[in-house]
Amino acid sequence: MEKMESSLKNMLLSLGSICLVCAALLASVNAMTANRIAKVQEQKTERAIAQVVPAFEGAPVDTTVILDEAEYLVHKAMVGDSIVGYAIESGTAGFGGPISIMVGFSAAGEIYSTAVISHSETPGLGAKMTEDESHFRTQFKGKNPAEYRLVVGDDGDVDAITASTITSRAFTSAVKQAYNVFLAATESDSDAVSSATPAAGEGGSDE
Amino acid sequence: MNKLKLNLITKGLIKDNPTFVLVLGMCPTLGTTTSALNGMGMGLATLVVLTLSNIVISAVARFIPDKVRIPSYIVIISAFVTIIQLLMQAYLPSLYETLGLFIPLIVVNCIVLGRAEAFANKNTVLDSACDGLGIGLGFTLSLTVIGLVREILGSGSLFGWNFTGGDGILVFVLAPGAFIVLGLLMALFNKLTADRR
Repeated sequence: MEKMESSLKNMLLSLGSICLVCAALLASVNAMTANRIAKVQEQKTERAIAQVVPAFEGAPVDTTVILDEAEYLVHKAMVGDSIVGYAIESGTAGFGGPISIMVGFSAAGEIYSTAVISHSETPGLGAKMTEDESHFRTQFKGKNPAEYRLVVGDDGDVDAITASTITSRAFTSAVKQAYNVFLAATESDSDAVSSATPAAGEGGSDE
Repeated sequence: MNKLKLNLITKGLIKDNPTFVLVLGMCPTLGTTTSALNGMGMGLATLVVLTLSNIVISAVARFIPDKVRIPSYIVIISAFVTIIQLLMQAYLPSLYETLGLFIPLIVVNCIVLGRAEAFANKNTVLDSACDGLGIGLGFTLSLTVIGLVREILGSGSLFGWNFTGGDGILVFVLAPGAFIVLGLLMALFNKLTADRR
């Protein structure tokens, strides 16, 4: 069959209709999947919360904390009326792109556990931070950042992943950021004031 | 007739292998083959996009004036990529997590545009589908092999299973290792297929 001639009318018509059809297709697929994608994201967050705080009942209570002009989501895990843990989303720039993590604190301010939500670190190097049993991740467990220095290397208590200093530093600073958010969150929380206030002073001083 | 179609599929594996013979799509090849699984995932995602875009482009090619064919192809290809990305995000979230980063890269993969330009716009829908499938399979296989070699040498593991119990030679996971492995594999491929071509 003959090819269409490259006249202005033909070009406008064909390219225009292709764009129109593609746009319509994309719009409908987007409308179809938007809800599900939001739900998948929510489930992912819920799973991460469950990983980093002690067992809790019901749905976590979400609050927003503003620290240094950035907004952080704090999920409070409750058993009955008392708070058993805080799950805080935090993140920084890693080696290969942004790292997003969830850090869980017990009501007393100890790090309960951590989980990596998303990252783009080098596989075999920085990506080792996602391994749950690795020493790098387990070393944070049960530590209270009030006395545990959240810095990689000689000035701190955190051991880095071999050959992944930048990733280790990024992860550690994200944990520290989460701790600062935790302090800000507990400050306004009358339930946890007694245990968190002394730590607040120290947390601020090692900045 | 059937043999011809089979030929179209198999030629992508050796004679027209996109990675080792045509040397197309080097950016995703070097960037995503840090492990066998990543390479395979990227290859499979490209295979799907390539086959679909080949089918559609061969079907509509005669309605597209020559002067606007490249923008038209790009619009079609990127529409497919975005649709696949959204569907994966919604229904295969765990696969999306490993591959999500690479999916948008398919738009700029010159294999897809290259096959549209070199094959799909001159051939029938069925032939183009076979061509897309063949080239896609060749690409998947090459990427998996490169990823496999890099993973074994670089992290001492195989499809995520660490059989050495330790670390590998780090350079193979990093960018220089990608070039070294690609070059050596290309040389090996040429040696093995020298009398076939």
